[in-house]
Amino acid sequence: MDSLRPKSAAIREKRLQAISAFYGKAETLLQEHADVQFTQRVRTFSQDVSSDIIKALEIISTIRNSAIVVHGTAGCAVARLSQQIFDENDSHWAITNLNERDSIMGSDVKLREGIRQVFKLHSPEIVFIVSTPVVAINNDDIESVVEELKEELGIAIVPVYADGFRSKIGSTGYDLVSHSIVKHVLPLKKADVSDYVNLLSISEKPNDLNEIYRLLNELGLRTNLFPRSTSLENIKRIRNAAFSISINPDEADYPGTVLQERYEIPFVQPVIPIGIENTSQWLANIALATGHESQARNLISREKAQLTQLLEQRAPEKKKVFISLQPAIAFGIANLLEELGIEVIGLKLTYVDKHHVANLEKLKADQPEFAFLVGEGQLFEEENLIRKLNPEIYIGDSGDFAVAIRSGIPVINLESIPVFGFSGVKNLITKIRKALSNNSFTKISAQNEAKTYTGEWLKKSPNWFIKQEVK
Amino acid sequence: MSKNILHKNRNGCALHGALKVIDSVEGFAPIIHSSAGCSIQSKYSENILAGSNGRNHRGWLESSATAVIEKQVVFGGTARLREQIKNTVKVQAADLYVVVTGCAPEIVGDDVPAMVKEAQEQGFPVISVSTPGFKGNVYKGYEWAVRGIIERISQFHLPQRPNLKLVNILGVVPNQDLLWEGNLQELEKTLGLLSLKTNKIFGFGQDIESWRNIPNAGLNLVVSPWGLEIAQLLEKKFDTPYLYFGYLPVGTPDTSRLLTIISEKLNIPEEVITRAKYREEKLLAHQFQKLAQSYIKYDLQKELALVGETSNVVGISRFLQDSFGQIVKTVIITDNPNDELRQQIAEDLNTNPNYTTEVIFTSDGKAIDEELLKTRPEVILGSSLEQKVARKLSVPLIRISTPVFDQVFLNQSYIGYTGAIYLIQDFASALLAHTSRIE
Repeated sequence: MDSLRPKSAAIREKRLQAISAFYGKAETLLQEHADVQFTQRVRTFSQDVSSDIIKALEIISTIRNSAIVVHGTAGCAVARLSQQIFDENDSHWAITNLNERDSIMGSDVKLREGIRQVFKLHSPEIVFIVSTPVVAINNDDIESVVEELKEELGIAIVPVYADGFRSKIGSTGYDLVSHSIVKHVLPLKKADVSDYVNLLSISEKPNDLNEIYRLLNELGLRTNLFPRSTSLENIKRIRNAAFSISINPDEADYPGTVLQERYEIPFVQPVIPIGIENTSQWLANIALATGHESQARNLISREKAQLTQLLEQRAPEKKKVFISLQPAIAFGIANLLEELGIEVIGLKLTYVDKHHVANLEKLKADQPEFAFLVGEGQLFEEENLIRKLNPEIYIGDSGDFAVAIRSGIPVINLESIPVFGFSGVKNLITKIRKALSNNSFTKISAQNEAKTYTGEWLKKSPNWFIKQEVK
Repeated sequence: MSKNILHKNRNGCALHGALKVIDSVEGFAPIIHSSAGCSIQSKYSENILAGSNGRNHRGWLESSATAVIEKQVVFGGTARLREQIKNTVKVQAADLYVVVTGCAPEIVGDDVPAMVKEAQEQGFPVISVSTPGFKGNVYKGYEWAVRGIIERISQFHLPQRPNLKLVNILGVVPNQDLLWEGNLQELEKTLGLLSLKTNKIFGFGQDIESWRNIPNAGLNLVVSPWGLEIAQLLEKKFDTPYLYFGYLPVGTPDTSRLLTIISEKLNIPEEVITRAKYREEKLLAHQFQKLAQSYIKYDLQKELALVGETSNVVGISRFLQDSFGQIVKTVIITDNPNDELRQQIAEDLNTNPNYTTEVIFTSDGKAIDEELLKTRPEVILGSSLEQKVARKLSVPLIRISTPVFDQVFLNQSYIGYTGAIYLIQDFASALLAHTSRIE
């Protein structure tokens, strides 16, 4: 099988049976999986979700010496504009700014012009083209523009075929980026093996990566980061890596798999390094594969000893928590909270796919009656559930904490707290204590909240609008 | 550059403009008929780029949206929209639901009006506005949404109950204009000097009643190019006269001039306006006097460049030039007003006979950077996107236009008499901070 042959990555629904609409017990999903596969459900009422365009831009904007041409109407690049705030490398970008005539007559002239302009202005090593719905619907010919200008400008040009409607799971956009880079920049042939590993990183922030680097340095591993914050030079090196290693196994799955498929680079995909046991296991698995077991053993016992001391000194209060996160991170945080003796009473996952069967089995074994939500955004369901569960802390990372604020409960936003590795344990404990010790801001804000949802809806079951898809 | 390619584009599309309108009125709810992500991109520009002042009664991810998928793009998404409208009214309480359409369903040709008519026949307050991104920018989206809502409301709320003392404000685009809420409140305060009541229609305390009140006003005050067609519609429909001021007045003399024109239009006795102006002008002059020592000590007279939308930039430029002694070299207007208005804007900005203020119309980040590097102003008033050029030139940047992602704006305003005081305060502070930083 060659995943890289098509112009675009297979959507997660097809590749991994990913589902984005569900409320119920783990048992139900496990049964479906045992029978055939997870059942695709749809919402007959929905709130907006991230698109592959937004997610693709999130990664591309971190790639060094690159430029982006967003091929679409003016609004499609606002996500890129907003990433300006986190700009690690000042990637350069333009939009083709399609108008009504372009939407009818096609727009390859503008695309060529856009690429030439960013090339002339910024001398990038790679130019990314990100397509959008208008271009996808009209099936504009991007491929021949790529071929033509690659020749003319002598640089790498990578088309990322985002469209906003093929997948219901925005994170598919991450896969599109890895797919297009490997397909369009690297030669087909397997390469000589070098002594470093590909560290597959997607949504981890610089602070998250600092801890990961610290741990891998202790093992004595040399790393090549991909695709986040990569560069043309680093991209060329991924073919020679001895291993590919995941941080977040969900996000790294696609690049790890295609690199294994095409270049036979062994893919080490352990549990996410969040929490004491998970981090230890992550390190142990990597050490086992790469032959650094003694370093790992020392490191783990040293770090564990420190943390045990810390936990004994300052055990956090026992509180009830609602978690709303992407799956690997959510399961990691749940494990960490268990280690801290904090109870998870509510759970929402942005999606679930076949890689989460083991997590579902653990959930079923520990709490057979526990019902959870699956969906990105869809805060109407979250509010419905939170009102019924009355949690005391909310942990999320979606950027929208409207529901938690409305409920007046303390919010812990993982966007701004690095939770990976052993230092992540300390960071989370510190934040939980801070949040619990003074919640005046959320409480006062809650008093000013208007009613957003009808009483009729809040009385219904959270899965009222989740239906089996009619084929 | 040619062919309409935009570098570092600062403005969203028509759909975003419409959403900014709907999100800024309590009790209005959008139903977005488009592919996934459109409203999230819009919220980026409201929450992150408009000085972090974007959150309202609905959260970032709480807008009702069909998020059409491939089969609805191929076979049409009308049935999906019907279902979404039917269920939105059950889940989200609102006084008015506005269906706004994105590029995908518009290209496919979904019959949105038919779905809306169906919902209306069932008694639900639902309307639609066509807002595909390929048809217009964020400012156009504002205009289309406001017009659409007024058309609908006016079908049901006649006869009028005229109130000559009520003034509607048209042309302030909420969450695109960084200073929108503060500006509306400052206008309210300013018109209050003439005992007039201001119908702000957006922001704190504004709901469907404010919009139902629009036909009753005695005057429509238009403070940007984007309110003009709305005012013309209202004149046609309700005979309401309008005053096209074209921008937001800052300090003296513009604020006083606005008050004079309005009192003439509404037959307000001269002694009222004289009394009102007197105290405010005195207070502003008093602040000038307080600043005079520093103004000279630190040589606050500079050559400036301004970047931003017509509504804020024209008034700020005129005040800084005509009253505050600044030399405005360049003004870059980023909201793309039509050709007929451009001439007027250029004239409004060229107020000093001793030199020419160059006026450029573009929203292309590259053209803006190049112009600033060429002009080499001593102070830039613009958006966070101008930070890099400001650093290169080693000059202070004062943030007055979107996008701003490194400063918070809640109720800030630089217009009217009071806003002018904050403007000179922030101007002087930026220069002092800059001087002390490089020393």
